[in-house]
Formats: sequence, C-alpha cells, structure tokens
Amino acid sequence: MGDITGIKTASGYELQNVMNWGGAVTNDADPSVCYYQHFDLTMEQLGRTWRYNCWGFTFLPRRYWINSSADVDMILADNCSPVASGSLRPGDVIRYRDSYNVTTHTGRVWQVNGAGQCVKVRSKWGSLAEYIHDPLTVPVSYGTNLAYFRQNSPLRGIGDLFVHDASTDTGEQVSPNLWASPDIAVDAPPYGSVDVNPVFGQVNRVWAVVYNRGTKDITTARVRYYWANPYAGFASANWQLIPATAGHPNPTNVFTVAAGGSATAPYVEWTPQPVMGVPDPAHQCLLAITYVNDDPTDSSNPDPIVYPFDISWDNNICARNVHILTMDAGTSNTLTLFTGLPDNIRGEAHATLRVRLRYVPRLPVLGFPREIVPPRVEVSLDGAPRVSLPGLARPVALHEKWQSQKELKKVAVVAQKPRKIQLRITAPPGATRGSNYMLEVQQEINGVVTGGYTVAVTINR
Amino acid sequence: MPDYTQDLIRLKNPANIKEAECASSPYVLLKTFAADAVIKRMIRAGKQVVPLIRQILADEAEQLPEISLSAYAYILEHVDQAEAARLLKPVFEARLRKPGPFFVHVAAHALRGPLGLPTRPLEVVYNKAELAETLRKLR
Repeated sequence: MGDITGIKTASGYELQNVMNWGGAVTNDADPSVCYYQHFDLTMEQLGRTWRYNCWGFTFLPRRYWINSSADVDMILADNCSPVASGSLRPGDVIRYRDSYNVTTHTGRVWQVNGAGQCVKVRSKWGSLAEYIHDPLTVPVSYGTNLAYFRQNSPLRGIGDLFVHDASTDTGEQVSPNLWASPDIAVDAPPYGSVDVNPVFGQVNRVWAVVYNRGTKDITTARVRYYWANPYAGFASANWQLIPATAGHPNPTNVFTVAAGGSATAPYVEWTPQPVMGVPDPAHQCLLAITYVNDDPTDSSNPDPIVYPFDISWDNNICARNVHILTMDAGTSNTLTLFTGLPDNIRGEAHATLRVRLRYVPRLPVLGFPREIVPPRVEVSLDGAPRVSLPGLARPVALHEKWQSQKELKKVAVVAQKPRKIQLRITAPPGATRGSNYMLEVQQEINGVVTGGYTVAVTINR
Repeated sequence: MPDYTQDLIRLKNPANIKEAECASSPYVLLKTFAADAVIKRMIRAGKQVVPLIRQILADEAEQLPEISLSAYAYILEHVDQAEAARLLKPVFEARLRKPGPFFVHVAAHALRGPLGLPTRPLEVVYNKAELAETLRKLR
C-alpha cells in the first residue's frame, strides 16, 4: 500500500497521485451495480471499495485510486483525443466537469444510440460501487459539463496483455470485431500447417500469440483456451474449456510476455466433435483469455481482467471462427449456427440478423472468365422458408468489388433458447472457378454487433 | 441555544453527508460539503460547534473515517481558523504517517491559507513536500 510511482502518460508525464489504499469490498444494494463474473461463472459484486475510484476504473483496470484531477487531465491530453457527441462509440471516455471547469469524474461510454450519442455510462462513484447509469444521472457535485474522448494509447509504466480481436484491433476499448482474431492458431494433423481448419475427431493443436502493449514485462501470464458451438452472440455459459491433456494443461503454465513484445503461449490439444444436429461442414469457435489471475480485487495483478468473457470490451479476450468452405461448381452446402444472447443483455431482445456475401476482388486478368458468377445464398430461421440474398444487378468484373446483403429484422432472441440459422450456399454450374467470397452473418442488438460467423467460400478451380 | 450534538454525531457516518461517498478527489468532497444541509447548518452556528468538535476529535479522531474527519476540518475552517489550527494539528500529524485520500489534503487546505502558504482551491491536493511544510509551519 502507498504511493504508486512510475506510471506515465504518452508524453512522459508521471502521474503524481496514484494510490494503493487496499481495502475490502462491501456490497451495495443499488440495482445498477456491476458484477464481475469469475472463470467458474460465479459472480462477485463490484461493490464499495477504496481500492480504486472513477479514474482508476477508467484508466488503470481497477488497480488503484487516482486522487487528483490534474493527473486525469494530463492523461486525457496525452493519451486521448476529443470525440464529438454524435460520433461516439462504446468504450469512449466520458469526462464530467463542474462550473469551474474542474474535472470531477470520468467513466466509459457503455452504450450509444443510432445517432452516436451516449445513452449509458459505466463508472465508479468515489468510494462507492461501479454502476451503469444514464449520463446525467450522477451526483450534483460532478457537474453537467460533459465531454468525450477516445483513448488512443496505453499508459506507460504498466503491463497490458493483449490479443487482437482482428488484425485491425489496436487494443483500446472497444473493438467491434468479435470472431476474427489472428492470434488464435490451429494446427491439424499432419502437424506443421499453421492456421488450417480444425479436423473433427482428431487431436488438433490450438495456441495463441499474446502481446504486451505496455512498457513492463509480465512474467506470470497464462492463457485459457475455450471452444464453443457457433452462436451469433456469446453468453459466458456457451464457453467450454478445452479439456487438459497430459503435458498440455489448460489454463497453460505461466510464461513471460516482454514489454512491447509478444510470446507464443503453450498449446493445448483439442479433439473437436461434430455438433449434434448440425450437418457438415460445421465448425466450432475458439476463444482465448490471457490473464494473470481471476481476482478482481488484486491490485498487484499487473493486468486485471476488467470485462470477463467480453470479447470486444476486454483486450485480454479474443475469438476466431473463420471457416474455409471449398466448393465445386454445381454443388451445395448448408451451414448452421444459432442466435445467442450475451450476458450483458437480460431476458429477451430483438435482433437484426444480417447476412452478407462479399466478393474478394482479384487483380485484373486477361482471358476468360472476366466476370463473376457468385454462389446463391439462402437463409432460413428455425426451418422457415428460405429467403435469398439478391443476385447480380449487373455484370461484375473479376477485379471489381461486389456484395449482396439481406437482413432479417426483429428476430426475437431469448437467453438459453438458441434459434437455428441455416445458410444454404449453392455454387451454380457456371460459378467462376477460383473466385473467393466472404460470407458473413452478424447479429445486432440495439445497434451493437453481438456476434457472428464468417465463412470464406472458395470455388474450386 | 440549539443542540448541535446530534448533527455533529451524524457526521461520524459518511453516508449521512449527501453524496460525500461519491467523491473521487478532495476537491469534489469539498463541493459535497458545501452543498450538505447539515454541514451548512453547523457553519451557520458558528463558534458554538467548536467545543463539540473538540470533544469528538479528542475522543475518536483515530477511528473516524476519512470523510467524517474531513467534514469536521471543513466546518472548523469556516467557523474558527485559529481553533482549526489548534484542533487539527495533532490529527493532521498523526494521519500524515499513514495518509488516506482526503483528510490530509482537506486539512492542509484549511490550514495553509491562515499560515500564509499558497493553496490550490481548484485541486485541493498537496504533495508530500507541501504537507510536510504545512506541518512545520503549524509547529
């Protein structure tokens, strides 16, 4: 306990008032209080504590209490950029100031509306608990002078374990990509071919590449590997820990991730089984959590999990489910996945299911064919009659971009009651050989993509 | 004469000071004090409350929560600066050995002005050298 030194902003300013008060957590009866879900799915209230305050929540994964607004103003100036209301994204920082223009409070934008405005904030209130609240439902002393920022770089002097949700993921909150991590790799028998599709009924090796975007080594990192059936919205109960095998524990043994570097985590052995009721070709999603421990009250943890089981909010968590489907012209395949409700949405919600087929252009080529003949994609929900994605409205050359999309709106999604989404893909006899498409399914609830499924479709030469 | 004892006893529980537990910094804490009806009443009562606060500090200063102790310091600052210095000095000295987030800063803020030391009204946070300087001047 005591003063914490060495934490700096991007410009090198050292925070002057970072404190470790320690202290217990006491429960809060407020219904808007937040919870931490442990790996064993038990819940712990993020209740009243002096261990961290609003600024420690916003900028220092719940580790410490920052006692001065001057430090916070420096973080906002050095590590963040202003964002206008109307262009907000979940994960942006909300700053409160009073009539003297003094920073009094910060939090993270939890939810935005279709107009890019903040409608819910998650923040810690002094020594009270962590809550989700309306932006202006706050103590009077915080003031009503609101401004928004997007953090664009981590603080220095701390470690930050990171797995990419997609190749474009920077590690800041929040990544919109949920199922395309480049950091989870699979090696199916015969071994030696990295990142192929898993083979059912055989021992596949699964591992993750873990990065440290901070400036302090983390010497006690681990990875937990999970698999899940394909859902368009993951609840924590969908995640199934890959069983350990001899010499390949899950979670892994500890390993070091050097500051600014990366490390390949030990692999686990995974023998996937076909999904009951899902015809081949099918696949399962892989998820990885890199972490030090599962204790949200441990300030000595160099990089605590802040949003357990939340792929887009926590940069320690990623998933991938790209599946490569190779088809011959004149054949069909059916893919199956399920709707799902993430933990942070209670009971029932109405979703939009978006199915998009996107042609991956090739360099201009001489000779024939010069135009694409894309596969036909039909969608059905719970066995209802299929609807087709629109076909070509005009001829499309091999080097052009093209996509087709269909939305199923107001799809009722209920927790624990997955609905079956089936995609029938037919490559017509004249399908352009060697052409590649990305077939993507997204489930969106309240304007937020909650999950999805991507299939790379290749027409055999 | 009104009996302020019950009001001052209520301040021993930070939950009785409106929004005080929502403060993340000494500056915000002082804003909640400035808006709290009980604290405002104590300040309006003036020097009458000093003996009562003296008694509370003498009996319980070690056990009092940061917020409550800060509230008494705030009231003393506003009703009797000379007594504030006298009553807060031993508590300030003791708490400097193991400071919390609020009291040493609120007390330093209350004491520094009368001691002729500069204050930071829009931050109310003082570094170790400034806290030590405040104690030196008090002695």
